[in-house]
Amino acid sequence: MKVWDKGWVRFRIHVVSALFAVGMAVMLFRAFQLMVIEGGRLGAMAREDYTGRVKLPPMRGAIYDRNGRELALSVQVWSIYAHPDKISDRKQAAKKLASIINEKPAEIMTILDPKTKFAWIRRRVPSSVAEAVRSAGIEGVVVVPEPGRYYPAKELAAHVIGFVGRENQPLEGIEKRYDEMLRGDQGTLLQIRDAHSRTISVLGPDRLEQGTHDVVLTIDNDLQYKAHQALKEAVTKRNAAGGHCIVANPDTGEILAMAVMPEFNPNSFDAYSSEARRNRAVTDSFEPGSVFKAFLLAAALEEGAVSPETAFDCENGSYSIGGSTIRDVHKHGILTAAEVVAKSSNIGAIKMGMRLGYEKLARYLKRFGFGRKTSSDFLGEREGFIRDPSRAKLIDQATVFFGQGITVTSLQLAMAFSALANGGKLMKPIIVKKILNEHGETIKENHPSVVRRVITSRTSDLVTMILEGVVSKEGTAPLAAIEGYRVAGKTGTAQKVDPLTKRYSDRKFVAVFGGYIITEKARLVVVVVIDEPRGVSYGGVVAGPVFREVGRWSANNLGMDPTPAAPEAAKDIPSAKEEAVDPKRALVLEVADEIRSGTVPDFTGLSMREALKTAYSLGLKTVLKGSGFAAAQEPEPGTDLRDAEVVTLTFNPPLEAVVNRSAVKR
Amino acid sequence: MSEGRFREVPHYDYTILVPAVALLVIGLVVVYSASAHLALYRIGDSYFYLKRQAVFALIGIGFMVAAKNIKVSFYEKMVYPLLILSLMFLIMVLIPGLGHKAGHASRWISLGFFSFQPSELAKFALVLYLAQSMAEKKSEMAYFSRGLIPHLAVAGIFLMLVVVQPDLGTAVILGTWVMMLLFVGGVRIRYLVLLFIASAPVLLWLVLRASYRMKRIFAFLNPWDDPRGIGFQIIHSFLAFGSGGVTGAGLGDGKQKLFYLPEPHTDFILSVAAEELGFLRLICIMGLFILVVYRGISVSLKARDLYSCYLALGISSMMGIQVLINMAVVMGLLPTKGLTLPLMSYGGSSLVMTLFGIGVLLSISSQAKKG
Repeated sequence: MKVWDKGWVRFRIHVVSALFAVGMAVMLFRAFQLMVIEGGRLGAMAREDYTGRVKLPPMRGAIYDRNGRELALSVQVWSIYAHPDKISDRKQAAKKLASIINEKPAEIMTILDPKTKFAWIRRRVPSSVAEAVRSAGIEGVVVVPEPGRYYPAKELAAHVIGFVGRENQPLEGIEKRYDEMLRGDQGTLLQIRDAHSRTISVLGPDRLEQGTHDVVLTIDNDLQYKAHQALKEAVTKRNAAGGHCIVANPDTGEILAMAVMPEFNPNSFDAYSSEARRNRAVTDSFEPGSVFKAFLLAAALEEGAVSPETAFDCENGSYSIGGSTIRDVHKHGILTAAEVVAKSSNIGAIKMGMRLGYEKLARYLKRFGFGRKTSSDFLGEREGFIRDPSRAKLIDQATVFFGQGITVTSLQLAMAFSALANGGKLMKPIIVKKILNEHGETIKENHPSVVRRVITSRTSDLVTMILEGVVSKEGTAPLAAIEGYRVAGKTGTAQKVDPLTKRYSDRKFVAVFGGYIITEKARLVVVVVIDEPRGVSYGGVVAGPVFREVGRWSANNLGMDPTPAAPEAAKDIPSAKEEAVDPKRALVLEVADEIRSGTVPDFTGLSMREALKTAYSLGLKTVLKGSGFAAAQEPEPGTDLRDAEVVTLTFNPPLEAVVNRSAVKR
Repeated sequence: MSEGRFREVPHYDYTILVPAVALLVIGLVVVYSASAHLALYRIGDSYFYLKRQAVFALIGIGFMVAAKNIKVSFYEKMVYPLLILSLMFLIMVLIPGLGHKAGHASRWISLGFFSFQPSELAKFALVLYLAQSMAEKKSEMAYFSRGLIPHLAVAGIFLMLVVVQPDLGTAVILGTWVMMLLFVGGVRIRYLVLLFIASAPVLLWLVLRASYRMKRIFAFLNPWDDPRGIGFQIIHSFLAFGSGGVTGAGLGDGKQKLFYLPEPHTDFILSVAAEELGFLRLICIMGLFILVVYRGISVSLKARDLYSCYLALGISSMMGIQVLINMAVVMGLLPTKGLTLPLMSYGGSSLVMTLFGIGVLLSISSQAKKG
């Protein structure tokens, strides 16, 4: 009997068949709906879900010193994070993690808060730990490579370089200022992730390849090291609150070293207070004290208000002005302008300043770069304060003449001293020498840039001559003298304003020495500031030795030839250093022998500086007229020295360039 | 179609064999794609599931060829021994120590190399019994006592044993299937309606007393209310289908198998196939299933006797129901239920028994032509 003979069975089978047909039709339609009609929307949702976007903090560019030594570089480190909400067995995960990273399981349990979607377990682990975590394959735990920042020089130049935070965000210094160059483009890495947030495959970086740039600083690591060590030693020895030391090339404005105390290690920057991380050489302005007399002298000479020989009555150490009494540490009677600076007489400075006029001084100070920022490369740089002439009372003016009532930064001082050293030009300070692209090609270079000429090179030479006296045995800073080199400089010991009493403290001082080393071919400016030294506070005693140590070491290191080119100068320099500054002392003590047997030499043809040197070495006072080379003299050559106390020299003005060159080179 | 050309050769019904083998091969490929990542994480060998499935496929083909060459009348003598054997297995599953637990349910008996799923054997025993018994009773099927009670009693015992595993879903599917066979066998429709009405409260009670069943129902009704929780599975199945689009992500390039889909190589194999192969190829897969099921039904129509007819219909409708329900589940038309897709999903017992069933269909088909 055939089944299909039974119509009812056949019919019922067809009913079942039809049910399946309807069912399959529904399935087909449903598939069409899900895949074709809603495919785009669902597909996009799926992609959103499985595509992990990992922000790629790019490998920051490196920061080098001028000789290519690494000051800041990027290294690959590993970090471990978790998606606590995706961990089913948190206890087990915590236990496993704990054993690998050597931590208490309970600690990790608190990190693995199931309500959170993301939690760092540990940042910056060595690759061995990273590998162990990865091979443990713990659900919801991910190991990612991260670029870390490492500062191999540690504390050296840390205040200049600055540092980046944990997320490589720039926080201070060059790191922050040049972040745009250093960081390159923020990249995003697209990854395929499984439901436990494990990376399955990498779709590739979703980034615009701009690359990172390296920054080359003008800092010389060796000089920086020396400046750092010497400064640290002095700050420690003097139990000081802090200090700064800047070494600069006055001819280019390049900062070769910028050391700041207290120090900090940028590799663990968060272990230090923000006080320690501040680049005080630019962010702190202070009253410079007597150092400022160097600039008063320069302005007064340039304006012709005084000559080195102009005599001032120093009132035996006590002088009333504007209702206040100014006292000198040492009582002086009559001093020449040169002596006022060399012996650092405040009363002499006031009289010199009054002869120049406050308004003119203020103008010169501004031209020397005080009262405004020097550069945009230093973050948080202070402008300093110069009292406006219209608002300066007599006593205000008087204090400015000897460096109180005015504030400056160490960097401003370094640039102003550079102007004295380089023949009168204010240079723009350079800290970034050049910027390299990822192929090491220079894409930007900072060339020396003259902001303005402040004083003539003649004045510059004159000031240098006089400042050389400061480091003589009779000056205020014999401890700053460096054998074999000509050194010009000025000390300063400024009273600080007590923040509580708002008056000058008699215990808190800033000890300053600013100066420069001169050779035939090169010059070097060093500014040392010691903040609040305990005990002895004199700039010459506290800051001077740092200047000498840093200066001597730097000059040697840079190969600055200590032997002067001019043969006569070679003889002259040692004595000049001692005698030039203090003509009176020289006359009495050391020149006595020569006076008995000597005659007035022939000055003609000498440059002003050579003439001055010669005159000083013989104990002769000079009256200088004109500029250029000596053309006439009074008294005549051959006159017995005992009959000649003052020699009047007349200079012929040649082409200024010639003067400059000869003055500079000699 | 191919019947003409291959008439004299071993009388294989290629309209069933070819789509079935095609599905088997597609299944192997998709199983590998779906399970590689998972296998690598769980076992450390991305080929683990593929290798096992290939072995099962070979065993299954052996069973299929054997079944093709066994006359179906042979099984008539086996009905009661098989019924008793599968009942024993179903009881053994429940005995702690013998049954192999997966999650909450005891559905397997561990045999070392693989775990045997007694409910697969039970299905075959049940269809044999029903076919034999219904064919024997013929027109008496219309009587309540003769047509309904004995079958209901036997099926009821099986269903109960499956429910207590607990595997309510399989029980419901088996119940539906039994009712469908009884309907074809001649049981009056009003009895079936009454049966359906009577079973509804039991079903409701079973669902309400188990919170995980409630959850599944809620997840089915409102998957988007808790996309990270109870809706996670089904939403990711939607996303798999959506990602597939018209042309698919490409074989191996699916993403939802990366632990987003709960069981990418078993229950949700079709989602993986949809994502990687796309709508057009999914239609082809569905077409192959339709072909197998409808060729099976047409075999039942052409069968030489009522027993063969019922047997063929039982086997093909079982497959059809599983295919429909699995598709409905992965496309969110039914609550999530652990049910594999015949021929494609990973799973030894299911694959071997399905291929065996196809062998039986081939046998019936070849006998029908001879007769």
